[in-house]
Amino acid sequence: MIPIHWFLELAAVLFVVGSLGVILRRNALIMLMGIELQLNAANLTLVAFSRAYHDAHAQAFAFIVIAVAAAEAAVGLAILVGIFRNRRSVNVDELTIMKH
Amino acid sequence: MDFDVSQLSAIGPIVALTVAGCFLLLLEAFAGGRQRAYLMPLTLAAVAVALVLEAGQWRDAQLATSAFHGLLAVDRFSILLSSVFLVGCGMTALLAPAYMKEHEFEFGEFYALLIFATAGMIILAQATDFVTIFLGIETMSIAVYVLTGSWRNSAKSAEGAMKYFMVGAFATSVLLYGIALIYGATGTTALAEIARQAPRVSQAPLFIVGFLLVIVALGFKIAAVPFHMWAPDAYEGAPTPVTAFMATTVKAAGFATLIRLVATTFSRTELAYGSSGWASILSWLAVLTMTLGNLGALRQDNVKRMLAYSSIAHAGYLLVGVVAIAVVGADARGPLIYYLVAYTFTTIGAFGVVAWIGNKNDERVMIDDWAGLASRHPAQALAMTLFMLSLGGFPPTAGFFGKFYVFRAALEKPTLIWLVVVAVLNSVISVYYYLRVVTAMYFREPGRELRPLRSNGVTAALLIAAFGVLAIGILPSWLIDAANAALFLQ
Amino acid sequence: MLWQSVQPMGRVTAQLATGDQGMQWSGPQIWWWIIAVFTVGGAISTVTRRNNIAAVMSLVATFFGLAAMYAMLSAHFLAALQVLVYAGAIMTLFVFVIMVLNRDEAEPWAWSGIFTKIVGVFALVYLVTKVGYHLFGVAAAHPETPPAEFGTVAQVGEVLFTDYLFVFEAVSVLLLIAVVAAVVVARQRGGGGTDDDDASADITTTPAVGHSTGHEDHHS
Repeated sequence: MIPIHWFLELAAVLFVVGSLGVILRRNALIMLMGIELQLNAANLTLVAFSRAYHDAHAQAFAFIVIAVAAAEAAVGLAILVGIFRNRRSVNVDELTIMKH
Repeated sequence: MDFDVSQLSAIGPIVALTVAGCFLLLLEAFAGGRQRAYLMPLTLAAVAVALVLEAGQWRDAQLATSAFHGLLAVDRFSILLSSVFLVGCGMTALLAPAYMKEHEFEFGEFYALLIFATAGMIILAQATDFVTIFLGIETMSIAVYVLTGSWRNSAKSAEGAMKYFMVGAFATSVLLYGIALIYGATGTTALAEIARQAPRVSQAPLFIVGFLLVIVALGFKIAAVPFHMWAPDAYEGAPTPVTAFMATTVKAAGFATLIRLVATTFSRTELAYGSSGWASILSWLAVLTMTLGNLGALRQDNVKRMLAYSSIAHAGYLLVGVVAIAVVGADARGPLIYYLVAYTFTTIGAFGVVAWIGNKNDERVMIDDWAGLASRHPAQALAMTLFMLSLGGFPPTAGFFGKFYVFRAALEKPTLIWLVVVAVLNSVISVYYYLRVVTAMYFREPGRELRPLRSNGVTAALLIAAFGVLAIGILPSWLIDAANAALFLQ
Repeated sequence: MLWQSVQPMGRVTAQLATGDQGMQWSGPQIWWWIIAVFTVGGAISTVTRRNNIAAVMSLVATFFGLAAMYAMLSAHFLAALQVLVYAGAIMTLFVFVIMVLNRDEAEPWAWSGIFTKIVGVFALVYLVTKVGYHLFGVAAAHPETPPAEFGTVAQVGEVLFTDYLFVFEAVSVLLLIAVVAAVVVARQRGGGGTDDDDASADITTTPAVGHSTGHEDHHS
């Protein structure tokens, strides 16, 4: 039998890796992938707890999250393509038109 | 299993808005640009229908009801907040057509996205389960990301949308991970059930970390410092009517969730107090948000960006009211609702004037561009003065009573005096930059020639905003009474 | 990072190395470790690659690993969905966009605004370390095997169409918004300004913006 907390710790590691990708990388595409990693880590946590509680509701929630993540990724990529058309770059550090 | 058609009345406004949004999309798709003039009135009609349905619920909702297996609630809190969102949506729709035409980015899907975003906010106001909270936030946010970036040929708009999207999506992931941990600690996502289990789990580290992550994620959504870095750029980059929408209704939707969570689910003392209790966290966020928002606004010569920072500062004053919930209990929600209404009218009005003054070649958002406005357009200058006074908190405007009620609620127990003192000092500082606009309009020589928008819609929106600011400022009692009666589903 | 949660795992590995200390490794557990290393390796590779395509491929590997994890948790329906939707649909979208953009970034790691980021990273790592430590205490809350129908399409579907009926319907609105969003953004190409043809023509030129000052201002 595999202990549930192994899955939970794996999810925590994935969440950190994804967050580091979002915080430290400046390539918008990689940042988007980091966000997908974070969402997947949260999903793994939900599914692991769902297994622990024998409760299918969390699995249904994870299903919803997958659908929402697809919509979010589509919109994010659309915005990214739009900005690339303007700027020829996906580096978020070059987004400095507006003064601070 | 036991689906009941009568439950549909609980989501009447959401259904009405969704149907209207689909209809607008079809109209735009099949009739093309020819029918575009009808889109704005149809949007207003949809908003009116939804408002009527909300009013019907207000009459019926003597007792708060729950619908769809506890996913949604209909209570007076949700009805009042939903009405605020609807009014904000309607006023944005009034501002939009002339602005889009002048700046040459007309597209019919704008109204559908606006309506869908509003539907997401109403879901959020009614949500009593983390599943619906997540869904509502995503529906609202995704539509607003697109609206922010909808100004084609504007590099600023695309840039603002990108920053908004990245930060917003990051916040969503944090929220979801927090929800997953809370689920792990309690075995449920229903707010009522979590509240029932709170005595058992409130010291469980999983629960506390999950709850902190949820608070942080909501901090991003309401643009509280230090989670605000996206806000000035997104607000400045977005088309001005969208900025008005974001600064008011999106923020109010975030606060609706935050208020419901801290007043019901996380209301237990051991969650509110202590070093990692939400009261101390939110009071520090409030101090930072007010102060840094005001300091940011002080340095701006760009009126649109100044208003963006000002809206950050106002999130700080609202957070003072949220902290008051920890001290005086859920009764403190009334002042918060009043403040949100007052702030919505005022801010949409102020951004409306910013949208009105510019034209295609010349956005005229710098403060020098406003010099001498009073001599040429006295009515608009007067309206802007009114909004500035309301934002600064002068009587007898709505903004004054908003601050008054919120601060008074926080002062009911002496523990929050320091917070109110900081808030009042901040309000005093803010008067400087609000009055700077007023003095520019009245006491400086006119500059270049103005060519503002000519549109009945913009005029109507400004009139509604000015009327709202004065009406609830001069006669505040009916609104604060209604807000105090806005019970939660317990 | 994650000292607290890594330590227990390290202890387990040490036990494995030193022979039997009372810890018996079953077949599924060994498989779990193999897949976990594969998954985490894919994730780390995703966020460190310079080449976007390499990053996407690493992410696909991670998603397959996660699907296997779901299967181990008896969430068979989700495991299938993970492969279909994530590895199938979303990743295709990523690859498509990367093909359109077709450029690698010059500087993979950002050194600008480093102070804010260090604070952010430390806060994050601290928080998740704390979580990881306490997750270890969760242990096997309910170790017994689930009922046979757990995680099947029938069971998850029943929840979706009864308790989560509203959410299920509302997600369709969300997907509609995403479609409209794509249309709105795609339509922008007719609007003048930059033309798409020269976007593909000068993809190799340096970014047009020269004001990359190198410091990101967070004090605002």
